[in-house]
Amino acid sequence: MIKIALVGQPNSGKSTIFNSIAGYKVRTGNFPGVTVKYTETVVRIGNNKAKVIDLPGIYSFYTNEPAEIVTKEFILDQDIDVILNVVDSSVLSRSLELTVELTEFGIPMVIALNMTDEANRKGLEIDEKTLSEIFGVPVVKTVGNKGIGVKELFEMALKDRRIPKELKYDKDVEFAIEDIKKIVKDTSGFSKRLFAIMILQNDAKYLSKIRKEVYERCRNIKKEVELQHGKPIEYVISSERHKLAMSIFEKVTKIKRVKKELFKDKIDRAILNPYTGYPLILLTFIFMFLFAFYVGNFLSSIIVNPIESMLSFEIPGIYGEVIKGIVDGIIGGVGIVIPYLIPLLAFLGFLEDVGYMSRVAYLLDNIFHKMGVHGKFAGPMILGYGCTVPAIMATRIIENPWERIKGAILIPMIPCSARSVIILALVGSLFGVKAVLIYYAANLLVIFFVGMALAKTLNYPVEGLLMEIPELRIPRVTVIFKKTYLYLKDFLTLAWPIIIFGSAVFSLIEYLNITDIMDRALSPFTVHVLGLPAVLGAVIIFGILRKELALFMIYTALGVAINQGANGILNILGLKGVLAFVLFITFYIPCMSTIVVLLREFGAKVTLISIFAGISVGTLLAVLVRLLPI
Amino acid sequence: MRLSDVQEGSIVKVVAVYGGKGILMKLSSMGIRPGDKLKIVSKLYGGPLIVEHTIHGCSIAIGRGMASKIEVVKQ
Repeated sequence: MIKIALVGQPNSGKSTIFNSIAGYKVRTGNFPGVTVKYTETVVRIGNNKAKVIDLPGIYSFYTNEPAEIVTKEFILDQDIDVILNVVDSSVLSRSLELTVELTEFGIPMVIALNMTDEANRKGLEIDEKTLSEIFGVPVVKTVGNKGIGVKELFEMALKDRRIPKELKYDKDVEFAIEDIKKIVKDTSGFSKRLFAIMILQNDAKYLSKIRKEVYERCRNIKKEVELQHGKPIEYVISSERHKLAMSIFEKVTKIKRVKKELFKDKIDRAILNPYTGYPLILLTFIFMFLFAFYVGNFLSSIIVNPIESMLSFEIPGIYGEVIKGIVDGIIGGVGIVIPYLIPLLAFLGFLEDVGYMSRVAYLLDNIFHKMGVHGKFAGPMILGYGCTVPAIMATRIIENPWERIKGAILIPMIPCSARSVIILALVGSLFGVKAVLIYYAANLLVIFFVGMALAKTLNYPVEGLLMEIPELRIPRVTVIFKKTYLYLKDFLTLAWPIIIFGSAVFSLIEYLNITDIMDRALSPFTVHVLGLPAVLGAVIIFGILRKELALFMIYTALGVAINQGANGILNILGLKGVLAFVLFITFYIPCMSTIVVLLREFGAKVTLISIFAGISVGTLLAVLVRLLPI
Repeated sequence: MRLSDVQEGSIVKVVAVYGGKGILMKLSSMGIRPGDKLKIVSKLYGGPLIVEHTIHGCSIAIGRGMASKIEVVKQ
């Protein structure tokens, strides 16, 4: 089967093209660097089948970032039949540098001039025939998000596979390439030119393939070039590609007069202006919470409550209890997913697709720096309000491993939908919407202080922000819909089964009546540290299995009838008790699903640190509340 | 002067990038090289800025730390 690899710069629309041919399998977003691992799928193109691989977006192959290495190794080791180079036409001059670099691989190529509509709007007219002649490969104009040209593109990749023309660099670089070609005998199956270029730009993998004396001679050749240009060799070569790309760009484009400022440019200015930008962020998030509060409660009352009452049944015996637990878990999952998670994820997906999230990342960069992380952190953190599991996965967009570890510690402290259910049910129904907003603000403040404390302890140099700001776009409803589903999948496949399992375990323990033992074991902590009744011990333990389970359990544990509502709880625990309980439940430990995803993404050590940090912060806050003079 | 000292709205030409090969390569892979002209489209107090490349047309957010390593002249 023919293997087609999609390669292109971040945000060039690779994933959109992939989705348009493969159905919806890759997460796309108007946020640079969304694809962190590659995805492959088999698709039918006409009467043929082909394997299509979506690789991470990369600007080049020479900065040695993980995504670049993954892509390079994949292309060179996996016998790719054709590279489908997706080019963002609206930034053609820069994108062509990668195209030039790709020609060095000597693998058949097809160029997709994507986002041609955007380029036209910018006044760029591209002559694809000339471009095709220069590279010696087919060029197809596409508009990925509308599906224009995508079919032709893949048909071309199947029927017209040509190896691109060998582009020549400046004389002294070509001499150096020739010199290396002469002294390197064994190129382990790679073309001599590619091998020589890789050696020349100090590619670690290729350098390790040559013998020591060859290595020394190559080093002298490189030194000479560096002396002539007064720049590092890697930069000299990349400048050559740049020069070539610019001259090709000039040959194939006509720049028309650009129209006056568009409406979206005005919006963009308002978003980026600090005086309007920060209030806008605040409004957006207040809107997000109110949206979750009203829409969530409404949906909950019309969908989830009827299901719950329909499915309440009693089966005697231990198996009956387990079945009841499983059904509870399933309903519980639905109770979070439909009313709270879906609206929130859809809203976030919308913000990301518009291009707003990258602007938020820019605006918040200063504040995030105080926590020793940079602005890109904003995305995963906000996702954390939906579900911690996809939020932890989303930290993959952060390159620095230390920063990711901070994510592992801080993100579980953000109240996810399940915890929001508790906050809304207790704080919300007792003290109103305002109190909920204050609670969320205070929660953020605590996370900020924990982050600052972490910045002091995990003291490493913070990588500066360097991030492309994509054009604002009007997203397509279907795309947002599908994207929501993809985020949701993390929840459905990972969190939900654990919730169901947790419910079954909970039913069983309740049936066996061993909650007393847990209450007693935990009572020194529950009573003396948190200042809560001992009967909440088991509630706290079960909160780990399913955070929102704690809400249902607190009624049973305290002997309050559910129809008495939150006031019944308030009567027993008092104001401080309710606050201490909610705070502790919000912070103390990530739920079971989060622990699983943390283990998978970070390993045991970081997971333990994250759990420890959560318990400490939760305890500290509960104790502080006890000491409050109210 | 350094990019971090430039005001919003101005157009500058990149003269040099300090701070090692890594930063130079990273910036050039994203399209910013010595000799290029940049327009500062947004700048936040004491922090990052967004530059628009006058030829490529791409906008890139650059943190303060990194901006202070980019030597520029006003155009």
